Amino acid sequence: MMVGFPINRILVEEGVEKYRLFSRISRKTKGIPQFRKKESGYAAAENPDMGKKTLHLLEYSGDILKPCPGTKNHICCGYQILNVAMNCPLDCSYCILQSYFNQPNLRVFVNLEERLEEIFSLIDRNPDRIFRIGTGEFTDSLALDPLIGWTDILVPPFSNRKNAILELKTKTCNIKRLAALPERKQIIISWSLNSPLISSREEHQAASLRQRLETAALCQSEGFIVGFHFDPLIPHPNWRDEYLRTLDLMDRYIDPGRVIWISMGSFRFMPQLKTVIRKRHPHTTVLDGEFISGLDGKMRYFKPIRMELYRFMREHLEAWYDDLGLYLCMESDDVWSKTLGWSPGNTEGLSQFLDGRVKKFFG
Amino acid sequence: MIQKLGHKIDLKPSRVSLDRLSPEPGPFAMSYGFELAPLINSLQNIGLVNNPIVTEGEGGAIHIVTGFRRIAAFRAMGKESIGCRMCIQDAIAPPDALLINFFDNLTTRQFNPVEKAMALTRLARYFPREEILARYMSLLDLPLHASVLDTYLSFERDLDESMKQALARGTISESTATALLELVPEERKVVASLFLKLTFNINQQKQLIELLYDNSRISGTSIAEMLEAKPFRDILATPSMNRPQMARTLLALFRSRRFPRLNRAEEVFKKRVAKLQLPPEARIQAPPYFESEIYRMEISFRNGKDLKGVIDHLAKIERLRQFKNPWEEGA
Repeated sequence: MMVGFPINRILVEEGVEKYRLFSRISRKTKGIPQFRKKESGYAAAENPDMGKKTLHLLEYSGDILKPCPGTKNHICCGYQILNVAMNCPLDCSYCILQSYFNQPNLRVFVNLEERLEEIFSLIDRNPDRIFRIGTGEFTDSLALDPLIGWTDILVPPFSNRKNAILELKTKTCNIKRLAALPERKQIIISWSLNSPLISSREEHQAASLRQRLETAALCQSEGFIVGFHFDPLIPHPNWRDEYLRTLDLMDRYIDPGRVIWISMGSFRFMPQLKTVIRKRHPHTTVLDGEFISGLDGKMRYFKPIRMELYRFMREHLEAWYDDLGLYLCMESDDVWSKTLGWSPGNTEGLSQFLDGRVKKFFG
Repeated sequence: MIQKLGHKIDLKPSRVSLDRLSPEPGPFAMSYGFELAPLINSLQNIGLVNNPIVTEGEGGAIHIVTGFRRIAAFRAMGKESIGCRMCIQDAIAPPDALLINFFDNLTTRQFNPVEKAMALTRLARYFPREEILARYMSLLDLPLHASVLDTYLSFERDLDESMKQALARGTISESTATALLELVPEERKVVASLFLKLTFNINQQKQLIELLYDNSRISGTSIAEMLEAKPFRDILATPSMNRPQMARTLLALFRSRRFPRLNRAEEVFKKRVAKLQLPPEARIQAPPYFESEIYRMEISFRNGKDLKGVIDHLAKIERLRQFKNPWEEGA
């Protein structure tokens, strides 16, 4: 199988066989055993695997579009999450999903197509508003795309709307299906980036940095607009040189004029994630930093450390190109002002800034 | 005669020599870390009201089904034998004996954490995990989570005697014991002995384990090595400090290593505030971890005149203008 992430069983919840997406996934996964409820193979996966090899097909009846779970006292980007799946086949040691959901398995919602009407009707009813929508918050947007075909379902209808963009966030190179589609408008493909050291040691199963940037370059040459997310930034021995190596790679592969935005966020997590990380990734160094309890109850680096990271990255990114749409993820007004030299003031302000980037790139 | 699980168990009055009864709890009893004195006092005043139940096991060994504490008290009183109720051979299956002990104790007293661990360990020998989670965890006032069951099984299996005693007495909490279990056995022993030597409250215990664990990982030095190093030994050898002071100093030492920049900022902040020479009625408080931008000044005063005096004093302190975050260059 070409997906790159070994799926060894499929759990099928009651009533999902009627969906077209179920049939398509079943065709793509011929040979992988499927289990229904009450069959012995249905039992929950044991930790520490978290069911990363189990595809779980189910209906989703909750809100399919929800605002990014921003936290109090911090400026949020106003992004909307299109909830297509929960959990991720990649195994980054720092991933917050390890403690965010209490259910295992790669849970894919097969009634997606039937729920899309709700979203597009909302978008169409609000022509003056720009909807920045992404699928990469609760899963990797493209890791399972070869199996699921999310891009086939989502890209054409988004591409037809002037007041919405779809951002596909990934750490993979799975762009084959996407690139085969004719649509380019209103679609942003973005990659999470880190230092080569963090990438190789902590982002298990993800494509290498070079592969990600080569793929991003290919997407640019195919006419796509791209974005990047330095999140989570993690200080580690020699971090300045290490992050500069990533910027060198960006310089080598990427046309900065076709980058819609680059976000930066430093590693932050709910306190309970620490125990999970220790158990699942005993050799990780991501917990070694000076974490304090932030205003939102999350553990964050001591403020001057965060500011040092952002200032350094900003200085070098802006030296590369001065219009990259740099923004901070979940930071306070004062950190914005003291590191980027300006602040949107609040979530509305940042939303306007990012909406402005959308207009600039897509008209 | 007692009736249990739908069948009758015949009991025969029998005088049993204490030599034939093990001083250990055995397979059914779940008593640990209890005080014998009140029971001895009761026995001396009113005698044995309720006779222990015992059963004969393989090879003629006698196991205690109920009354482990009473038997221990008799032994402590120097008695040679005790009146028991003996289960007739083969009349009582081990799971039944265990349940008799469990419910007999449950109705009369609270279990300490070690006793809960003993109960769950013994139940796990005879009953499936799902049944223990569904039926017995709540009877022990424990959440019905598999991870909690595993933790308690680990208390019984992995904690040594001194740690069990500390847990039963409340010197260490269940969460401290859980944190100790994350350490390798040798390090667990070293840290637990520190808790017995110095006086840490429960919160400080958790903090210390966390700090030692992190410092050890980051520096590549074992916890035992860190606790043998000079700064630590110096603290323990300071005659002017009492045990709680030593505990606090020790925590501060490991905290400063774990959070060097925060520690430095706190020191700079203190120095800068001291330099301001504020009136004694005024003090400046930093936001927690300097995360918020907002500092607070607190002024104590008896009346408006006092307050005006303090404000006038503050207004004359020119250095206040330069007061900044400790990591920023300033006064």
